[in-house]
Amino acid sequence: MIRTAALLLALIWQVQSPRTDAWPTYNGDFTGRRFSTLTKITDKNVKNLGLAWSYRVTGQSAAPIKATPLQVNGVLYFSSPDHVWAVDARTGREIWHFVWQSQGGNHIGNRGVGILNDWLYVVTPDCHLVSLTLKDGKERWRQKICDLDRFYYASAAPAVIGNHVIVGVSGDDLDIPGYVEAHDPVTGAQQWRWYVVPQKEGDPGIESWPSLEMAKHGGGMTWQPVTYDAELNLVYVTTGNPQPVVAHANREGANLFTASIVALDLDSGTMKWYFQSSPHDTHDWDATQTAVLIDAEFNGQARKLLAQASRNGKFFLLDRTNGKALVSTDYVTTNWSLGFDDKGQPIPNPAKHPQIDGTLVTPNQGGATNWPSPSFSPQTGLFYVSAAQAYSVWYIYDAGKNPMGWGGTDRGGWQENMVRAIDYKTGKVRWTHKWEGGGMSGLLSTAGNLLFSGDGSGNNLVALDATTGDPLWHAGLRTGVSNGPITYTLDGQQYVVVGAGDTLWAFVMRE
Amino acid sequence: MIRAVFVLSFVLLGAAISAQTQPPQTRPPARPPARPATQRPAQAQGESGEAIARRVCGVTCHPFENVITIRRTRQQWEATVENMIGRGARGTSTEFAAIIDFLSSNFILAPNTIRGGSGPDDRPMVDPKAAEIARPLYMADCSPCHGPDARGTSEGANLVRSEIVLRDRYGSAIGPFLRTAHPPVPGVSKPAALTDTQILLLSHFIRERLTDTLRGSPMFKAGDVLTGDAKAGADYFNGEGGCTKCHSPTGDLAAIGRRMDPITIQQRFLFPSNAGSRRRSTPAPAVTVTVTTPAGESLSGTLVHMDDFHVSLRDEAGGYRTVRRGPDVRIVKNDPYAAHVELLSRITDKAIHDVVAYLESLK
Repeated sequence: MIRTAALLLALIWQVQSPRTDAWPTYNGDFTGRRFSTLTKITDKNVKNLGLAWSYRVTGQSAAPIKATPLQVNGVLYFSSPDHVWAVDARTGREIWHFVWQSQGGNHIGNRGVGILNDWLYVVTPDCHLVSLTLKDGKERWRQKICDLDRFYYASAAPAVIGNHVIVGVSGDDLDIPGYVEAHDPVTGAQQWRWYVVPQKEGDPGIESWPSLEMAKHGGGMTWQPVTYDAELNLVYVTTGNPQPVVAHANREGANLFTASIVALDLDSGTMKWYFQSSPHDTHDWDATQTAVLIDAEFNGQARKLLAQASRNGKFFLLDRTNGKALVSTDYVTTNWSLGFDDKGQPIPNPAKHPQIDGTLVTPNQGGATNWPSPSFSPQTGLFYVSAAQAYSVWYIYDAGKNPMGWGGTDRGGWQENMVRAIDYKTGKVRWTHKWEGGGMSGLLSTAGNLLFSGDGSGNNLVALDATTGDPLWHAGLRTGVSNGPITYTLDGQQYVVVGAGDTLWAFVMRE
Repeated sequence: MIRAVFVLSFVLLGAAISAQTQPPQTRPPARPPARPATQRPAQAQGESGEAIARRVCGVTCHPFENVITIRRTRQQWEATVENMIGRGARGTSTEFAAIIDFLSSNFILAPNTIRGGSGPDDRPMVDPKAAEIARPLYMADCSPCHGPDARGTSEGANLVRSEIVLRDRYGSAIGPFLRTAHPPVPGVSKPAALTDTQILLLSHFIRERLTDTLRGSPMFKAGDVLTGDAKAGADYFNGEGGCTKCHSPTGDLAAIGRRMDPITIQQRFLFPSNAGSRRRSTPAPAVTVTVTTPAGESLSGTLVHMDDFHVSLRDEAGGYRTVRRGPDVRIVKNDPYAAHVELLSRITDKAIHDVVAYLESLK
């Protein structure tokens, strides 16, 4: 009873009191908007932003820092595959370093940790959800969440919401089903699991597959932390592409609920609604870009909205109470669809499915955007996305009737990278700031009329004017920004922290 | 028990095939240490291939260990590097060539090596030699029900998706299953009459069918891209495409059909700036830039780097200059491939295939 009350209080704290002296969740709060109300650093004084400290990860653990650090009580917690660090948020001094003895799995990246009270949660490439004690990094428990033999691995940051630790799974080599599951933060016991694709006859979405056999192996990985609306008690899950990935002769249909935005009840994992961003995807365009929750006016009414700039180049604005589309449009030029259906979902152009002799498609496999986090500023009303106008040629390699795995891919390519600022009400691009080179970056907007981003090939962290996109400040980081920047105040001073390669950099506005 | 089967199978296997080929691997051997990159000449301004690979491949997107724990053929490494360039890897064509050399020299998938992931619970590795030895056995005894590619038929299960196969380690799961009763038909089944050696060999063959479905497998290659109309391609080349502004079928493109295969032609004419699509002996023409400073000084040369704040160039004399950008600094950039970029937003797939057919016909 006391435990439940404590968890409830923690939930209320998490949801209702966005902290400015902390960055307690992957996106800073549960909306996914990565907007800070802090105003000590502004477009007027950002030119004085200076280095506070840097912390370099060394040795075998020198993986690129893709994790967004969490900052709680003056300590930053971040991860890379098989590693978690606690670092003093004021000084950059290491407090502890946890090393996981790996049994294998794909070590491509780890996006971060989740925290509740005195506990930390992280997933590992070898398919474990692990809980550590916050003060010293000692392991509390471990739970297996996926199967290495089936080529799963784990890489996404857990989302801790109330008495649920919500984790997704990764892996798109073999034809395996994606799922998201909830665990008890105290014991680690599994509370529920929701499969992205049907697992038995009669399951929702089965009509969108040619057979149960194909549906059961239909993919849909859950690479991104969920967002959450406390009033509706709904978590918003974004799902990955179907399998087989490129060759698609044996999976005719929309392939639900892959490449979709799905609303699940927090406590039961029951699906309330879905919206498919890429029906019958054939280009590896998962729809796991953050579902950003926006409480704002639309057509003169205060609405509960949800926005996604999807990897396929489409921007969607939904009513998050029911999944109905309010806006569906392109935020870069695309050439693969024949408009939108009556639900606002794109209609794929069959001629632009991958072909044996190749078809020129934009976006490319990397997408019009990818996993780096977007940002929404309620101050400017703009949805910011790290975007690419990218072309490549898509080929079918396995032209048989029963392809498996990938069965094709894209090759070559040309692209230009940019930040695009999108009017959430219309989906129209308000401004574009192009970078000179390739590469994407997570974004952070602040009430100081600033947007922080990496700049592609320049290896800089850049502050843009959030209203106009004009570059105002930069710092060279030796290599490109590899995560999403965060900000917080400590001792009355506002910090901006960002990862670039093997180093975490902290900048501060001294008073 | 499993260990005993392993040891036994190893002994039997060695005896069975030592006369005909090198022995297949029964378990992951310790990988040979990577040879130092200095065995190859450094290719970019004195920087070793390893250093370039660490810098380009191991910093921003994934750990360097992701790269060097994998073995591939040279052709596969070339395709991998090209794929990475398409995903945003940044470097010059010389650097990418050095990376391919480094990877192909040190992390090569030779016929007698095996491949797979790392860690004790990770995937078993395939010995292609063992798989090849098992092929006749599989085709005779297994393929009638499970299909030649092991993807199943109406008579037998899909082995690529079989949990037994996925859990198998060199026969550890397949063996006991086959020896219980196979095929599983009530009243008919009896244990499969297979030796330990045959089971081990079959495990390699079936595992190889599974790895066939993965990116980077030997099966992962393009089909026939030569489907266009050469005459229509010539018309496009001479007309709408605007190709004759820079190219000539009797000049720079003479006999291109002999020099390049069709898919290379296709990739090169669409994405000439993509270093992965170029031959290493022909580095991409550089982007040049002219910078006019607030004082009126005009600087021209090869663009080294440009971002929102600075532009750096190397002039004809080899001098390096950086200018801080501002409203009074004028920059004119000249991309030699601008016409190809412009083509991307308007060319049709039909025109692409026609142009490939035309260029391929230039023998």
